[in-house]
Amino acid sequence: MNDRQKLLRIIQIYDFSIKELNLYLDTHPGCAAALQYYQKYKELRNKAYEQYIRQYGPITTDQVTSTEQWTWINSPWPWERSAN
Amino acid sequence: MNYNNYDKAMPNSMNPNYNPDLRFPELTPLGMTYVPFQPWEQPYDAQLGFERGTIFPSLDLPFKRSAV
Repeated sequence: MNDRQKLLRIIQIYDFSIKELNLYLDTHPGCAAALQYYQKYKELRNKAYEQYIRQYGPITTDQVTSTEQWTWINSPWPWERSAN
Repeated sequence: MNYNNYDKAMPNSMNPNYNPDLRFPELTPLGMTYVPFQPWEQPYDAQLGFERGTIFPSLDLPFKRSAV
């Protein structure tokens, strides 16, 4: 894995923990311990997300901030070798 | 059994009658299936949880015979 793929994997790992805690909290809404983990992973995930966008470009189209250039097409498409 | 007492059939931590020591609702009417209520536990770290398919050690069950 290159650095871009490693960072994307870190985001996936945090997203998975966040989803697991989300499902747990749905049936345990008063569990403070679970909610603290949820908030911790959300913060870590958001940091990794921001770093990814800064270094490698938008993950979804709503992160295209430029008003001059549609930067969405700059990053490799899923079928391109460099994306895999 | 008093089937009007729905509270005792709901294992939800928002239920004021919920007893966290019970894995099942106090009332378990026949003909219904029940899943043990999951207690909180120290989860795996995020990396291990991702690899195991769950962050909860109690749910990390050997579904495959070859499971590590």
